[in-house]
Amino acid sequence: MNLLHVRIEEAGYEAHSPAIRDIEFGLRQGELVGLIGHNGAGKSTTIKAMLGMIRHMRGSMQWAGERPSYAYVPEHPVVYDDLTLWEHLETAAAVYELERPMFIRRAEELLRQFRMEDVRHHLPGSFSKGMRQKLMLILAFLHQPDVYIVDEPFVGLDPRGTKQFLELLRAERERGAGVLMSTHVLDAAERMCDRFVLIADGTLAAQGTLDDLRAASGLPDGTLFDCFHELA
Amino acid sequence: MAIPVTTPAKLWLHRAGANARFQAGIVRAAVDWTVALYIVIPALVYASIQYIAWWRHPPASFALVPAAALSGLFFLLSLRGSGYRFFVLEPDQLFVRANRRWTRRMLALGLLYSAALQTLAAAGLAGLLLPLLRAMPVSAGLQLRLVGAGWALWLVAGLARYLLQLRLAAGWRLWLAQAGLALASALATIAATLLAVYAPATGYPAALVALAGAWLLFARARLRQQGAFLREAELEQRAKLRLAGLLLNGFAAAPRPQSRRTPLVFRRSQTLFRYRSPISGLSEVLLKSFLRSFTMLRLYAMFTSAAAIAVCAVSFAPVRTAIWLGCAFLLSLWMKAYCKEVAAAPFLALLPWRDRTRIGALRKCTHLLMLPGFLVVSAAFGYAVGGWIGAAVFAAAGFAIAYFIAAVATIWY
Repeated sequence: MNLLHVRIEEAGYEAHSPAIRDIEFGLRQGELVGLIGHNGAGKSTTIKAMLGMIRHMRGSMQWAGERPSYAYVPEHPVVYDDLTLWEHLETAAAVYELERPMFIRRAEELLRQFRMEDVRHHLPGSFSKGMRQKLMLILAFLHQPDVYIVDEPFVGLDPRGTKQFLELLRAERERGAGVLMSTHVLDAAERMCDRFVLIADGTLAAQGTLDDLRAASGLPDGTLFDCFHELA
Repeated sequence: MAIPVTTPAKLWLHRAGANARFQAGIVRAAVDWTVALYIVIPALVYASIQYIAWWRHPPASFALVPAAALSGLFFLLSLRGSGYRFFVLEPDQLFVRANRRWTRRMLALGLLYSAALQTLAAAGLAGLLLPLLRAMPVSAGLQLRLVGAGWALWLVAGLARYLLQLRLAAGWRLWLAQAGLALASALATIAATLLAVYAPATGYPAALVALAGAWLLFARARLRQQGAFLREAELEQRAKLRLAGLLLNGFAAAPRPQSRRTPLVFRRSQTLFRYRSPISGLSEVLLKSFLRSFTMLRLYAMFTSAAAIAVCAVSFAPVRTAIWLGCAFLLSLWMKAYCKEVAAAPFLALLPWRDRTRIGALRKCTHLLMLPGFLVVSAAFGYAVGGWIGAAVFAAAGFAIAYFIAAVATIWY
């Protein structure tokens, strides 16, 4: 079942000056799709266009349900300096209208998994970059949405945090959630992703499974890294 | 033309020039041609005329000002901040910091520049006070000695304050140390004033030598300071934005580093509302944000006090009533603007709020936040009208009026 279908005719930060154009792809249940590309190729812009965070966007987003059900983990953690970690979770729980016992159970579990129980009443100003990233991930996993949109999730995460993140992602995919993950860590993407969407110079250069990319690049035994350099 | 940066002095000059251009840009941004034409130039012309008038005919009250006020004035200035600039930038850690000779030379230039700037400021201040100085019934020599003592203490206390800020992280220890420094400066000011009056030939020069020695000692400590680079860069950034903060005060909240690990109020993330809903969730963010902001609480207390005094002081009933009701409108619009600003924070933008949630939370918080202040003003208004009974009646009326005005003010987002 298709959870999300994205069709971006063009989008950008200024009118008449599109940063990305002609990008179309879908995301199915349980699928992990890697959004890959060089620095500045347009990965983050694609995500922002999908989420309606940039003004100039022509295209459409089709969600499976009546209301979009997604969690977004930005590349740079955004936190509210005046709220404690737990208050961030409380705010998210209130917005998503989570049942109180369910929220408490889920939040406690995520805090334990990411080893953040001891700092639950701390302000994020005292957190390291990795801890702020964990806070973003906890917020995303809290309400178990249909779609996860994750922008460069490995930046700043320690090995234990990365492992925890990947395990949670696997569990969520088994539940039926789809994941769109933007990254330029290609070896990790090759091992994890079912399909790839390759963006180059602001447009869709290729998409499909690794075998599809191999066929498109003419490298039958190539790694994702090789195919990427051939196609991008 | 850009100066090729081949020596520490040239790099320092480059930065001092960039800083001067930055500060000039801030002044230009705040004082455009309209402001200059209608406010600044007329104010300067008026001040010049007044200055000349006071120079020719000083008011009799000038003669009543005690001479010790001169050194006291410099003491008050020393409480405002260190006044020292070293132009240390965070990117210096990439290469400049690796060269100890460059670093020390730039710090030494910063010390001399700051001391020279403060000397000029002291001379400028003395120049502004000339009409007052002429009218004082004490000798010019004593005035000069008092200004000299005040200037020397200002330089030394400023450098000591900078060293404290460098060595202690923001928090109660720094606060305590600065309070101690202020006390020591006050005592030194009193001692220097007494010496200037009673021992001008012996004690006073000795005090100046002691202050010069203290300055040299602190300057040496500054040049030898190690391991505080990031703090130096932070202090420099703060000093750079000081003028901008001063000019924008009241129009924009200055970015403040959150140095506390846990908040001062609601330390255990206590919830404010028993019933959980999107509206209560957003309201909680807005309320806690306000209650945890010392700047906002201080402004709120100042506004409330001023309004309470105004309704008591004005005797003409229609004006008094207009102030009371005007205060309600101003408070509601201010609280609404604050809540809207907080609701637009990047973290909150990540969450899918609905319009009715935003408006509901805005209404709830505008009412709750304006209520304490308006109750105080209403009670003051009632007291002025009908004593303690009036205070109780109008406080109760204030509750309902605050609710009504908050509802009106939040009809539109």
